[in-house]
Amino acid sequence: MSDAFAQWRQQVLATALRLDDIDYFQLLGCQTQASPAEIRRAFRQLATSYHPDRFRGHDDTLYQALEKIYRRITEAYAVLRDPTDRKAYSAGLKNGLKRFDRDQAQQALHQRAQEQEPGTTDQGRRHFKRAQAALNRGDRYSAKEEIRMALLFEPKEPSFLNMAKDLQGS
Amino acid sequence: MTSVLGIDLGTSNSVVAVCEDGTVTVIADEDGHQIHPSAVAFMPDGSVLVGTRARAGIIQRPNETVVSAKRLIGRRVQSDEVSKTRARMGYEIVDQEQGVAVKIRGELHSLESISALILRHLRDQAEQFLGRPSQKAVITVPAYFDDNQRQATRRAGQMVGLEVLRIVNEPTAAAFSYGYGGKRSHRIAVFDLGGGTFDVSVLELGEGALEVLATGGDTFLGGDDFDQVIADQMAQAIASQTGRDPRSDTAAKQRLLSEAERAKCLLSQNATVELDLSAIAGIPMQSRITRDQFNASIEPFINRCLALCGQALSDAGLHVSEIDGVVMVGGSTRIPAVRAAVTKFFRREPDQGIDPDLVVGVGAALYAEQLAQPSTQKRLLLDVTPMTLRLATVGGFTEAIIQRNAPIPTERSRLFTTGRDNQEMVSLRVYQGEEQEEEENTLLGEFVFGPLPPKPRGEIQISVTFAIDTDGLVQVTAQDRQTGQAAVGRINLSVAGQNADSDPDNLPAARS
Repeated sequence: MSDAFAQWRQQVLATALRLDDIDYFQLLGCQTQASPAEIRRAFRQLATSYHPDRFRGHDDTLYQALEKIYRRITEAYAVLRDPTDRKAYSAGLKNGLKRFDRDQAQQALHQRAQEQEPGTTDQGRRHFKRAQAALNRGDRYSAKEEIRMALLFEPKEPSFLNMAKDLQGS
Repeated sequence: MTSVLGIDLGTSNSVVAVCEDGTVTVIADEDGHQIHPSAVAFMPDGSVLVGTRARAGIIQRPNETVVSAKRLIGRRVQSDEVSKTRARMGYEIVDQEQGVAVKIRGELHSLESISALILRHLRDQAEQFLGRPSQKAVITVPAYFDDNQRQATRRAGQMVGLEVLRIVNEPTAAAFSYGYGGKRSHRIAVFDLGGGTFDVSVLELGEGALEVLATGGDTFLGGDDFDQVIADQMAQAIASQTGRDPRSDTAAKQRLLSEAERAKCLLSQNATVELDLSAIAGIPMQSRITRDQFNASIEPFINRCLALCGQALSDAGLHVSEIDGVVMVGGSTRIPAVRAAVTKFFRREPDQGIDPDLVVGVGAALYAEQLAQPSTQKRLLLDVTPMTLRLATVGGFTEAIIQRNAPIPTERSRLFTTGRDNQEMVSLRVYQGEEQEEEENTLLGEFVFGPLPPKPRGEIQISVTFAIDTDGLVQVTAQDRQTGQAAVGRINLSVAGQNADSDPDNLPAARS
């Protein structure tokens, strides 16, 4: 085992242990302003050195560490190459969230933009507002009815779905 | 030394190859055939025939010969694909709690066990050639196979004691057998039209790695469909002459399909094929089919393939002019109309090279050898997941967790909380597919995590990790944030079946 390889191996094992402390940009070795082409190039380069198959049946400890790191590399790449996810991730990262969770990232985005009223239809917005009001006075039953109505108009509106989820089972 | 087998387990035909010291041998059966029909016949004396000999007897034994098992493996009972296959096949297909099974002379056989018999046959051929036991294999599957189908294929291998080192996507294996690479990187499209499935993959082949940029396909589109179209036309011609539809009889149905397949193959060389339908019609009857008629009949299928090619290119972010080569895989790419349509679509002649029937098996063997070699100088496969992994939310909707064409292996983690006071368990229904609506996607299974300690709603936080491994298999793990209690759930069809109508109240609530 050459010195350079031994050193690299130690570094890989250490990285696998502190993976949750590394954000996606650090992992890919990119600036937070990196262009999509730079992100892609970084992924390809890392893939050829960190792909676990390189050490399959050769060095089990290293294989397992690489497997763990590689999964995170592909995760980072998939998030950062998607403009919407990247924006949400970057907002969450400012709050210290190093791993992408769509809900959490969405919240970070909401906080930042102080989002205007959710919904795209008048009826949807109206029922959502009534649901919020009902919830504020503790009337979960009416809130549930109102959010159900709101969802009739906009079945895919995330804020409506979230409230419906929250109210579910109550 | 141990040699790892490369196995292309096809819908109609299978190939087994082995690579020793860089040289690939495609293994022939005792009759010299390199292409082994994926057929299993259960004989009256209790013996089982597999391969060429099973296929040869299909007209005599349509009810006891299982073909195209791959169309059914890992399928759920109520799917369209199962009903379509049932209408075509002579053998009996029955619904079981754990998916479909075939029933031969009152005896049930799972689709995995049918595939296992084919795999054992292939291994036996290989062992005879090698002169020693062989227990490891790389098995290929259509890129567009979902988790249920991949899991079932892996189980089939395990049933006959094969250690499945890797499940590899067929177009990726095909690309592996091509000598692209070197210093300059190439972008190629693999057009894989087999007996039962269609795949298209767009790859970038560079130094040391093959990267799949996008993949797409249809696991129910292939040469079988072409046979069926011709068979239906012949049946109608017979019905109009005799007043009796021959498809009501299973033996005649099988004869029609065999005659249709023969005509299809001949039409690749000849402009017209004469058909003698007397034996099927029961009266002297001659007919003919021209290549033009055939081309018109299969045009809708070809157009569907091209639409999927367009989708894959767009997913890869490439224009057709950026493709440096087109590789043809699967027997159905021998059809002149298919070649012409592909040439027109990609604006270039497909590459002439390895036999389209053998190329996947050869690639699997090459990949198998280097996976088994303890060398760090490997040609890496960077593959992707073909379908979006989804989680059921409320109101019959799903949420995307891992997008299609995401590089694998990969994982994604989400935090969930309970929606009710003292909720005892959280269940996660996991799907693959491209639709928002729950029921438009394929259910992989339901993963139940519990029992949870009694707590008010929202107080329990569960961290759930969704992973897709190098075989494209899905794994879900969950951990209670407070207690650290962990649960691992490997999703499978039987789990999905058992929980088909479970309590929707146990669906996870979003973290609030």
